[in-house]
Amino acid sequence: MRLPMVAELNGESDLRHRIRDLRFFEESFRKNVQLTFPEGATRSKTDQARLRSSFLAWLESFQANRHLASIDRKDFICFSAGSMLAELFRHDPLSVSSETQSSESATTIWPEGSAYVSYCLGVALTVLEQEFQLSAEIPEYANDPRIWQSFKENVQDNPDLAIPFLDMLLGQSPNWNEPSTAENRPAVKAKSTRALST
Amino acid sequence: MPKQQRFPLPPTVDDLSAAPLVVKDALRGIRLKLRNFVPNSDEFGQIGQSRLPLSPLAIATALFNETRKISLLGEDIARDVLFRHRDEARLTAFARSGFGSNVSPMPEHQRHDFVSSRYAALKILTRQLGANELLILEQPIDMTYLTLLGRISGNSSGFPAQNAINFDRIASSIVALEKSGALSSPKLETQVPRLGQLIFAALGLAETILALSTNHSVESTLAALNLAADVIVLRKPSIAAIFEGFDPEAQLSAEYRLLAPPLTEA
Repeated sequence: MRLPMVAELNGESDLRHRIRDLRFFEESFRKNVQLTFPEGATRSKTDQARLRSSFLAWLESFQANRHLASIDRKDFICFSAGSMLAELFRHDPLSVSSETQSSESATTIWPEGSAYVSYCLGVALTVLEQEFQLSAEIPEYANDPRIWQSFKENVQDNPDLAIPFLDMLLGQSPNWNEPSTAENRPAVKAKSTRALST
Repeated sequence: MPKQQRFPLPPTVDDLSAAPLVVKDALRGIRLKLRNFVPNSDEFGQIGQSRLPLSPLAIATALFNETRKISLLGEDIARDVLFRHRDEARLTAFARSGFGSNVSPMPEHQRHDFVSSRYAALKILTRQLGANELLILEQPIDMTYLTLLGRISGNSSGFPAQNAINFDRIASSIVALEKSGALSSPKLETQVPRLGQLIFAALGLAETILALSTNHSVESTLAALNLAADVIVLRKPSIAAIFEGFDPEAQLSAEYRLLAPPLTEA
């Protein structure tokens, strides 16, 4: 799976704060779309009102859950990126039209979905690298068309399932049952239980 | 039968300084009425036909419209140049003349800036939100300023650290302005939130953005007003819940705390 924005995002110091700026979010999202679909047979259009609605909804979720960052910071970064992905799916600001179907990659199977995932994954990986000097490997199955087909069907039923999907790609334990409840994430529960028993 | 009041008057002798605002507001009301007046054939007659008598309002409207047509081009050019400069000058005072910054007691000279800058900002927001039928009145803004000044001067405690932004005061001033009648609608609005509530919520958000920003140029002020209006429209359900809710001041303050920092230019 292609992550065209990682190099650009890495050039941004303190990305975890910058991403909370609406102007930066809009600009970097559009840049990611541009890099994901280089000029040619693919045409894309981003609806600004929908993009802003995604950001505002994500911001509310972020503020409501940010206290959990003190329990497990790394897990909270993954959860926040997953929440952003869920809101992008919910508001669906991007529309892509393509004249050719050259390969069976995620970009051609589901262009909008792959653009949302590559953006949020890029943000999460860059913040993790900046905060923890971690460089996560993207698993091989991220390129499997069957995974993308299944993901598309699931997320159309419930956009919040984007959160555990992104957890899987980031190597974090997913919570498929209550994906949007940050308190019930495996990492948070494990640390809370440990803190109570000591 | 009670005597009918033709236009709002200053409520007390102490507020006679507000008298010019009353006159300006009354003239605005007449201008809006003339602009929106659509004569029916019974009252106005057919153009070119002599179906007299015409009512005084119909004659005034006809004169107004004809004069307007003749001088339209020249007036528009003059208006664009003069009013833009005047409004830009007023807007530069927008951020610093509010109740969000730690100035205690509020100096009296800020009163004029508060009224004129909010009038100019409301003009921009009503245009952006397509609410040209709303009448903006300066006198209620002035009255709100005096009320808030009295409230804040008597309770200067509880202000955050020096140079910090007081979200609560911005929210209080917006709720008070919304109740003041500074935006007057010719028709009864039934939808929730009302257009006026959206406009005032956007006004407060723009003020908060500018209070957090170090850039107070006219361009930044206009950008803040535009962005605030766009975002408030996207937050319609929240704004409705705030104004219809139990404690609008606290809720609006929380909304500004959530929204303003991510909208402020780094």
